[in-house]
Amino acid sequence: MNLRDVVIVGIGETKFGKHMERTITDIGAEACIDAIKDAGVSHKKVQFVTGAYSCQWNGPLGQYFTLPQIILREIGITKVPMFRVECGCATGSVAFRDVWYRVASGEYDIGLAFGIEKMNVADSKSILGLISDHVPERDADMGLTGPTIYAMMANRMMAQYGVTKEQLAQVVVKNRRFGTKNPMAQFPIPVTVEEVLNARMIADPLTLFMCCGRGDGAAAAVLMDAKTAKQYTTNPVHIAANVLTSGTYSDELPFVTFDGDVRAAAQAYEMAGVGPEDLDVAEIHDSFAPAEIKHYEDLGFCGRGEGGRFVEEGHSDMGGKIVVNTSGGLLSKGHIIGATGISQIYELVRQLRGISGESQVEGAKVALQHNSGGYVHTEFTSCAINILKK
Amino acid sequence: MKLMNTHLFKETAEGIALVGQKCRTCGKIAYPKKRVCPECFGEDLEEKTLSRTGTLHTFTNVVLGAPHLKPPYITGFVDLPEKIRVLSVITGCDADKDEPRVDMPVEIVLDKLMQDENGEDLYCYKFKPLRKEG
Ligand SMILES: [Zn+2]
Repeated sequence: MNLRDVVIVGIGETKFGKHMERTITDIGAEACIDAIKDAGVSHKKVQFVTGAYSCQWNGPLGQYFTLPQIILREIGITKVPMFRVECGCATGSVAFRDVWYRVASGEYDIGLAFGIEKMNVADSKSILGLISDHVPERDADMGLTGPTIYAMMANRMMAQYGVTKEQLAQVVVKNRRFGTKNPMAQFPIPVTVEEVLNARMIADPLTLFMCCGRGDGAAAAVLMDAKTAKQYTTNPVHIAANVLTSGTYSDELPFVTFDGDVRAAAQAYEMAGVGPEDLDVAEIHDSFAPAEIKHYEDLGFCGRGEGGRFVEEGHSDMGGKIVVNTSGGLLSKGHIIGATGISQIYELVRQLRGISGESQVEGAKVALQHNSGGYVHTEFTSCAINILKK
Repeated sequence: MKLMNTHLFKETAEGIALVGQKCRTCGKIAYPKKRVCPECFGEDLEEKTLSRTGTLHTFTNVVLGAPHLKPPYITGFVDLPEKIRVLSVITGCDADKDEPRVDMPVEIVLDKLMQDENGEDLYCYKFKPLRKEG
């Protein structure tokens, strides 16, 4: 099938944080209104909507059915087809992919993708029971939690490649420094290597600051085919590649890599006709500090085993080869499951428009977004990558 | 003794062992048992008792973790010779012997893992360092 050139015309985002006093509907409406205003399009021109809402955190309190329809009704978008998707931590990117594909394929010309979560409603205990009653290996019984996955990865990286705890801390220091420039970030507080290493131990070697927080928030984007977009913007951001994979769940690969990420990156570079050497800026899924180091390698930003030195030598910092997580990343913003993927795109669109303020990468032209989610038996279940061009 | 997750392991003459499946058509070994062979989709499957020893691929010492396990606890991936990687709690480590460490040999053991809602102990498999006799 011949796919049409699809561009991002509007973006919106709420502040990430604790919004106990607000309804999830109000949070979602804010982000969608922002994106539609930014696109300069009438809300009545939106032909379909896909909403990203993982809902895991609301499970014990009752899930919100048809949340996209309820949110969009508040801002006068009715009658058109609406979908809800879930893919764990990659949920936002899967909604984005759905909108991209429906526009690329010619089904619609103007679509809205949004991602949302309100995670400060459920207590942690009720969440834990939901994690793996359906996983045949019963991993949760064996003590598996989110941080333990990446703590195990960090220990293998340290043994296999000589990654150091200081390098893990440097990821946090870099992203938290970027986070201080992002008014939407939940934890805009700088930290030092010493503070990171001396923070409360969660799962050795991961301390509290090496683990992302959760929160409430939403992000949204308006997509159009390039021809339609000409009526609305002179500054579109092109989606040069969009890729979604599922995991391989290898029993044999060393636990320092996820095959789904490697495959997704290769497909994305081929589709966009660029390589990692062409990237100026990237938002990658730094749910835990060692993840960012792993992703440098899986996404080809550096060679295998060189990820620790990549951050230590400043190659992912301002002025480096590929500036990574100028939004502050999940480590600064918090990981608002459904919103994260579109929030990453929000930052990259700002970079390519040249309006990222103090975090602007000079002359940024090519950007990569990487968002992975879910976990079963040695690997993420989903990996989504977008390559964006000016 | 009250056992849990008994679909994953069984008693053998040498002690407990994990139980998977072997495909009679293509030879693929999988764990735990499934409805079909994930490689060839075949349904001609036989039970396969997995090796009782393997190596610790990686691990973590968990301070804030799953609420049903008393912290700190160690969890890790064990690689068995059948090319099966299994997540397990790791027990019996001696810090003076530099345990646990990546790639150290381990063996399966039946041990108390957690308690049920009535406070009764539940036993399951774990792995512990494999030490040479004497
Ligand atoms: Zn087979």
